[in-house]
Amino acid sequence: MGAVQLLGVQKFFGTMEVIKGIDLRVDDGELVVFVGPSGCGKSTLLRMIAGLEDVDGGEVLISGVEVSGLAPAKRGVAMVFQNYALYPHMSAYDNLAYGLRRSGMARADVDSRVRETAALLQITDLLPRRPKAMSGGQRQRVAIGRAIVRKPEVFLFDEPLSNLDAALRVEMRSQIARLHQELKATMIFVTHDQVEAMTLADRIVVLNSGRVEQVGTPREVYHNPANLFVASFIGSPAMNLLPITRGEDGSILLESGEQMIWPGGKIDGPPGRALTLGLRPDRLSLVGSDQGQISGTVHLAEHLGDETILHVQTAAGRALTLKCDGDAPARLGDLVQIGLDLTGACLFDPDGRRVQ
Amino acid sequence: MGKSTPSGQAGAETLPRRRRRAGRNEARAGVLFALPWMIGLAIFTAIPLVLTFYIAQARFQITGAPKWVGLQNYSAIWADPAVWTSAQNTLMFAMISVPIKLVLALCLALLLNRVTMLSGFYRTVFYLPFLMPAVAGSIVFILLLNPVAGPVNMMLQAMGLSPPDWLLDPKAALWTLILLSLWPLGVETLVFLGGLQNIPKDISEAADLDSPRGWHKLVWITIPLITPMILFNLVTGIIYSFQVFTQALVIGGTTGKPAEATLMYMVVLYRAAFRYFNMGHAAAMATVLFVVVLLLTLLIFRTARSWVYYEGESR
Amino acid sequence: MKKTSRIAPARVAQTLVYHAVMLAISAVFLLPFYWMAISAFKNNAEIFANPVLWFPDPIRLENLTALLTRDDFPFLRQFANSVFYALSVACAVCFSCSLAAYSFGCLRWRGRNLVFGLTVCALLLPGIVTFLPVYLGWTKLGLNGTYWPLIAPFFFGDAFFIFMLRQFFLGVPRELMDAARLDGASEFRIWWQIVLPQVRTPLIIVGLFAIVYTWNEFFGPLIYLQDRDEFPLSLGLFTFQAARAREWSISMTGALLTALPMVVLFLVTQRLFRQGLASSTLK
Repeated sequence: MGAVQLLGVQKFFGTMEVIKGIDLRVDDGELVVFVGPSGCGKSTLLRMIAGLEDVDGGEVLISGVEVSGLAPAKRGVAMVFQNYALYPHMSAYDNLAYGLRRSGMARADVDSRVRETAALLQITDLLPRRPKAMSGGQRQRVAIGRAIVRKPEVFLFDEPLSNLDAALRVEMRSQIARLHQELKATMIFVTHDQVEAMTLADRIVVLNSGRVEQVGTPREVYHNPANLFVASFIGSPAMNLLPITRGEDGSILLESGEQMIWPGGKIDGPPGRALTLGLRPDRLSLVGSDQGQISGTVHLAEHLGDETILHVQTAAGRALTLKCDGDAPARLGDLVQIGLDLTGACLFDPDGRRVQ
Repeated sequence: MGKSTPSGQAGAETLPRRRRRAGRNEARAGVLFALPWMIGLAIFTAIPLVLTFYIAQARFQITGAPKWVGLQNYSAIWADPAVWTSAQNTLMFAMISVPIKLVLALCLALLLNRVTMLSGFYRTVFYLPFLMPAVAGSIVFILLLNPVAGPVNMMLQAMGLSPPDWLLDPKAALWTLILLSLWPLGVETLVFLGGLQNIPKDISEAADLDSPRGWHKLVWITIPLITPMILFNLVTGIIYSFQVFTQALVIGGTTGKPAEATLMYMVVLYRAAFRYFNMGHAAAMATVLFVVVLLLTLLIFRTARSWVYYEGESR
Repeated sequence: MKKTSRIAPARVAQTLVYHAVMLAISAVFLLPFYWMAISAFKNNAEIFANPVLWFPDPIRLENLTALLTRDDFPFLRQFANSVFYALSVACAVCFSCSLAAYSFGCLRWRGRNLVFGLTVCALLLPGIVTFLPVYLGWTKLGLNGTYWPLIAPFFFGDAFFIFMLRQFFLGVPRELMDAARLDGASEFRIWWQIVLPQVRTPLIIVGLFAIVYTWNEFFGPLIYLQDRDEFPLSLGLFTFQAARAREWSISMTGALLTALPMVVLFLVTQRLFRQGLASSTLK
């Protein structure tokens, strides 16, 4: 029940292929987040699962049934839209009840189902109100209610939190996580916000220009990015990328000429092989003079209280980001020494593929 | 993901055609909803348009079968002095009334483009004449411009001017129609006003900072930004004035009193069709009007590319 | 409050001049209305009095009563005809144009842009170019002399009002329709229950414009109607004035009473009118 399977799914706008043959399996009860930059096709893919966009190639299976020929309402899916898309001329009650009535449910059943859902989301007192008379957060809850009330097997969320302010977004995020726990339904959540993706997802699907770049748990995607795109897209501040070459003995040769030992042993390939080293900002630290591998000038220091984000320009002109303690002594314009900790570092070949 | 994307994808043609349900449902509904209008467009516009060209080449007196006469109707209207007079009058009317109307409307719009306690009142006043049925308005103008006791001439006389006999002097009679056409300029004014109010505030303020002289801003900022509205008013104004009928009929009757000075093309056409029941003649006149208006509209749109400014891809 | 007292004298003078100019222009625009209104309460001699009688004295109501009784100007009958004509067209337009505008504004289908393009072309087409064959058709059907030719075409739609309504339909978010599709509503139901309620005000606007347009319509009735008792007001006023050119006081009363309903309608619904106007011009 409730598993969603995509087999070689394609989508064209005109002659342009916007979804380029995607294969994916979302298990029953799983919360999967599609994340990617705008225009990567994540919303289109979601709308194809919903049946709002046609599938031009491949197959979409929901609960094992090929659904391409089924109307949206017959697929057992419900969707929460970015701008809520509540019917403005109906009360919250009617918004919730509309779909149930369309399915021919008896009036009394509709009523009890609506009230039950409202109670679950604590929106009972909103029921007589119209969307216009609600705050953003309230509308959001009603929109989720409209999805839940139909007891779908699959929930689809299309950037539902992007219109909310920061505080509300965190609250709604936890509410969605809780709902997922309670309903145990399959959920597919689209967002461009990677923090949202990391916090909510059982698994993350990173999309880029119509292709899947990586599928994995948030930990996997963060710590083991499959390629340069994922590495640079996931994580905030973004991963530091440094050009390096393979030293004679399989070690790392930095641009500054410093040599470092790769923790995983020797690097493959011939000496002089050009690679990109990916390091999370928290693996960089300020060290005393002549202990660091790289030196640079502080460009910008963002003091966030418990931590400080330093933006450093190296002698070779690379921009680096460091995450250090809140009381880090660095100031704008300081010349600093940076130590690299290669645990958890990634190496990419010039095509962007992960090598080690 | 532009709305204009057709749902039947060209690129998808190569794929097996199957189960495109969402797009197909929507497309079917789209055609169905537009169907009454498409039928109407065919019955009341497309087919009659073709038939008019057909009738224009026939001798046809409503009763009896139409007889094919080729281009004879065209040579008849070519030789008809009333057609020439009316064409001349209509052209004069359009060429004088449309530019004056646009300039006046623009001035009014500029004057209206500020918020005062009375703004609402002024707008209402300028819009009201548009609501006046053309027949009623024309009759009132006849009285207003009466040479003996009309208030207009009395006031002009009081100012020491010697006003013409608006209705009996052939030289002045066309001006009666022009004045009458200028009265309901509320629509044009409000169109301009809408354009003025759509000018982003920051652009307007930046212009104020750039140059203290008001007319600089008018010429270099304001007018270029409302050229779309000018184009709209110009096209509708010209199409409308070429078809001026009601006012001309009320003021000049079917003979264009005085001395055919107010005889308009549409009046002559009306005469031919519904007084003399010479449908072929009238249809030929209609096709000529059509071609002239078409050419003129095309000409304006062609030149529009060089003087109309559209911000970004508006809609 | 304090601010107002500190305005520079130059500003005050400028404002005064502005209002003086605007009021003067307003007076010019209102003069025909005023002249019409006062003439309706004068007799012929007073209309042509020299010097001008700027206010009717005495205020004569005899023209009004004359209008109700004269059989060469069956005012009440024609007023009723006009109301019937205008309301029929308004209803027809609201129904038919909301169908087509919905299709053009909210649904995606192959050929849509073509048909809409043709609609815009039809908008620019001089009416007379298609009028004669349509007239001959109605005559052939024996419906010449009835209101059928004047009203029936609007049940298929009207290019101008479709164009105008489409602007509003474009503003209805697509997600609303998508949500309804997921809720299992049919395309017809989406139009009726979801989208139409969003454009209720525009529909009223279109109805108002249709009423004003029809009320003032002259050419169609002139051609198709022959019986005085069938005339709408515009045509009735015209035939009366053409036949009884000297009875100015009655003509003016007729003109006043023909114009008055539209003026009142406009004053009551001004905001909607302007909104409609703004939308009818975009591009």
